Amino acid sequence: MIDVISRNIIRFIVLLLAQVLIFNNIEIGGYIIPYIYILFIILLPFETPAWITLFMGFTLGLLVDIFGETLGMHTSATVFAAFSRPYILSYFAPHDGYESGSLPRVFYYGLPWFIKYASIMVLSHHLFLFYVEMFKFQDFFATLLRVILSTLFTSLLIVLSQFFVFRK
Amino acid sequence: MRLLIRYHNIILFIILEVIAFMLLAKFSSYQRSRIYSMKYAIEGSIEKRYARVSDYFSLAEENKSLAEENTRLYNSLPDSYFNPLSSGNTDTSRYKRYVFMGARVISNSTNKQYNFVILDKGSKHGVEPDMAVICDEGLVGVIKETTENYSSAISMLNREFYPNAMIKRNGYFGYIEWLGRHYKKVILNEIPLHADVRVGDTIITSGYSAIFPKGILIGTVEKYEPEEGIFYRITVDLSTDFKRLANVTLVKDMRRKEIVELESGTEND
Repeated sequence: MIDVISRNIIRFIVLLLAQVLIFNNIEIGGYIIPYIYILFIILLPFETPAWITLFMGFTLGLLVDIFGETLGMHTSATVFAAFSRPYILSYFAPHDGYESGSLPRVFYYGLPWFIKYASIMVLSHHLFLFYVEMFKFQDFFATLLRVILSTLFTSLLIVLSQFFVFRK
Repeated sequence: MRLLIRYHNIILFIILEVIAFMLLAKFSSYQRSRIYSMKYAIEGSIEKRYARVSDYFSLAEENKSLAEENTRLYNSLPDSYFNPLSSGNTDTSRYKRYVFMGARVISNSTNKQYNFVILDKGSKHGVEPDMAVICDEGLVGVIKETTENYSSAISMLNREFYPNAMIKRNGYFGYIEWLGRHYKKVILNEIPLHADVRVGDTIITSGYSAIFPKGILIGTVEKYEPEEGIFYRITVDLSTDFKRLANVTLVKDMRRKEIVELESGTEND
């Protein structure tokens, strides 16, 4: 239990720093900005109570906002992703549910499951984020293109990270 | 009460979203800059601790002194004075129109839809809203809000910024618009189809507002195409590289108040 908490705290800090120090400075072609910090919400244990997930999402988003000078933007998007996580998880649940003691990772449920789950999570986050940034539906399709391209790129980074960085 | 327990997650979700949107909407960029000052403090301490190459510090110092010198030179430029000879008065300080002041960029972004630049000069140093911000490469933006020590400027890369601009070669003018995509490309609108536009034409500020002096470089024409109606849609390659903005110059128009009074007077009629 303590182990699970400390692991998640370390992951929280590592992802936050990686986001604000490295990934915030990446911008490809004006369309693609990877927001990989959402991986923290994706990897929380299945048993995490929904209210903790929501509060973690709020704190994480707020910190990213403070460092990115986008007060409120990432907070609202991350809270939204945290809120939708239980629904997304139950949608992709195997027939006999998730085994207790397992984690939402490639190791337990396989690569196809993880790709589906992670990319839908990233999509829910990015969709909310980019439209909140616009704050209006002007240029609807240009924003949609940004959402889709960024989602693909972030998901790719997240899936790769499962093999190289966050293996266990 | 039972409803409260049953839907507590949804209620919590709504409360947190409301807080987030309040953060997003309720804070002016003034309040934001105060919140972000925490970030500057952290970043500053990290920088100090890990700056291995001490030479970079003297480099910054050198930049600063160069920027100051630039400011001094700008201030003595004949263009920043009204013509004193025409009125027979020789006291040049009374006829100074533009006053220049150097500032350093504390924070800047290019990857949002509404980008701002935060500068290290504030009301204490005489910065006021609506002062123009330029740099050696060209136009940067306009001051929006000031605190005692800092000020925030609307960047050219902001979708709510439409400066007046003209083609230097023939004087046709229109307005600049950023589409929120590439940090080097803006659109020049309202240039009529009968105007002679060529690729490579220099685009400068028109001076038809009480904010920007005339003749500040904006960029060069990259391509143009007729739009529906009677105007060209001109893509302009910005001369300012917002990805490496460090030192800027603030421009104060001493006659701004008079011009604004006139403008509002004609609007009322």
